[in-house]
Amino acid sequence: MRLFDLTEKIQLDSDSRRQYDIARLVLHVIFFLTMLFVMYRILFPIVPLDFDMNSPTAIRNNISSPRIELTNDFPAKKMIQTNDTLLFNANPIGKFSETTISLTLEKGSSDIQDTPVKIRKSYQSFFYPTGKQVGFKDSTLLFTSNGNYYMISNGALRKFADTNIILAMGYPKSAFLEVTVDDLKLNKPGPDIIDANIYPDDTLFAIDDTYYQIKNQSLIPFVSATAFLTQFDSALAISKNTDFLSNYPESETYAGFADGTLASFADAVFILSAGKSYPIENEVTFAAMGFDWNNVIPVTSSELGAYKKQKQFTNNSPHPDGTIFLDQDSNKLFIIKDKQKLSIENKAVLGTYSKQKPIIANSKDAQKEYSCNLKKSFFDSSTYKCNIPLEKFASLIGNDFEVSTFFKGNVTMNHINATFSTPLAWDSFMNSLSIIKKRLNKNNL
Amino acid sequence: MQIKNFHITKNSLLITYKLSYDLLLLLLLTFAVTLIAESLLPGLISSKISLTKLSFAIFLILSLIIYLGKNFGISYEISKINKNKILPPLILFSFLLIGSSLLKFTLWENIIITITTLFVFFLFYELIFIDKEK
Repeated sequence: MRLFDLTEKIQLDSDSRRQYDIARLVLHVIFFLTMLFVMYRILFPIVPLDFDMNSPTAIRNNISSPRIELTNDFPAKKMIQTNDTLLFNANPIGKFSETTISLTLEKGSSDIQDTPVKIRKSYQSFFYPTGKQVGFKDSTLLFTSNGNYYMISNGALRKFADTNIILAMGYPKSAFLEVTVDDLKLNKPGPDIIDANIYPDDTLFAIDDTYYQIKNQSLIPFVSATAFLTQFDSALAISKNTDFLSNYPESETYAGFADGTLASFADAVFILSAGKSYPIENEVTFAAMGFDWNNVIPVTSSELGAYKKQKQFTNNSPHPDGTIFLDQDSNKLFIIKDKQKLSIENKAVLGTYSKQKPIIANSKDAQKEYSCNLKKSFFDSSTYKCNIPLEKFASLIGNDFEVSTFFKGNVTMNHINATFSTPLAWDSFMNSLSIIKKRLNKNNL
Repeated sequence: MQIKNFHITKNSLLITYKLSYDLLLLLLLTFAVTLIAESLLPGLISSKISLTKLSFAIFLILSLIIYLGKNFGISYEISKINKNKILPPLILFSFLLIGSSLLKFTLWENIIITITTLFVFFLFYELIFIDKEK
């Protein structure tokens, strides 16, 4: 009698019986090997990331923003012209030993055999081009040793015509920050403040328990004092009584937290930036993006309600405007704005952004590049592939791999693939078990 | 199990029939293990093995078994299931499976919902099978 023979009553002759036994053994071996392979893939996962150039808006695309380096735009008609560089970003989560870059071209494209593919690692937004130095923050009050007083309004430096105007308007003298004349050059010059009856844009007020900011001659209330204090010191606000509210129309929109603030509500964490809230996908994405749990501020539903909710912030999303990076290499701070990273080099300016906590990055590591040369695939003559080992990237900060390829001829791209694989090593095995344990604890305890 | 019109020339088909049974058992085992793993860690296995494809494979094998069985004239005696042996572990397993999917509820809410669900299942079972058993 054979173990688990479900059809033992069906008798076969000896030859057929032998054939059946062999086939049954083969079936069980194949099944066992398949299960072993599934276990291998669970414990040592591969992450295939793709982009279909024929459907650039498809949700299934999980490679970020393929673009021409010069224009920063998606290649028109999928075509990369001679001497153009194609860039794209891949953001797998996990530890990987190798990546295989695979480019599939349209028939008739130039041969790209031996074209080098370069890869570097950091955060997607830290790869943004460096813009000019950032100036003082709006609403900041400044004075110089030669006795001139200034305010930053709509990004411009506006000089108070005389000190009587400052007194008449009620600006607290203690809120003025001493700077050098050179520091003032960081903001473009604006018109002088000459009329004590017209408050310049970005002036801050404290009326009862609410803070306000003036914009286009209307008062924008801050959604809460907590929100105000993520941006400014309370000393910057001019105290007024409620009668003052009748002088200006009150805006229906709210001013909120400093851009880049991490806010928690219920079980979710959001990034708040430019009036929008981005719910962070999960704690794995939170950690992968370099965020620190100590910087998360609990907010109320009304505070969060002042923001327009956006789609989930995933590991493919770049850090939004207002995010501050601390470059470990140069010890400089950078703030993300309009797809640029603006350096905050001036110490006085730095003081006005000191309330926001930076994300650690490293500009020197971000420049480290490794490359491989594309070879025609054995199975598909329109596909070119090459492998890049990733061990040297393991200790580098960031979750983003930026891949670049310089083409010497016109190329029409159909498909991009970057497959990341995990090393068959004890560390990876233990890491996978640890992830499974964490997920088990999270789901079931 | 009885065999009618058995021909030795159909041995290869008979082997296929027997192998189909073995494959069906393996697929059902895989399906059960995947289901348990998914209830504990959603996405762990279903990201590697498609449950839809697995279900299709089970239906395909079942169809093959039915087709070959009819060809060979294989009929079945409905075996009586020993309820005393099967029911307690089945109820315990169902209780744990349903309970684990309701962990976001408080302990008492979880227990009440799980027991109610099992009771509803029992009623369905009675409605569907009671006539056949009689």
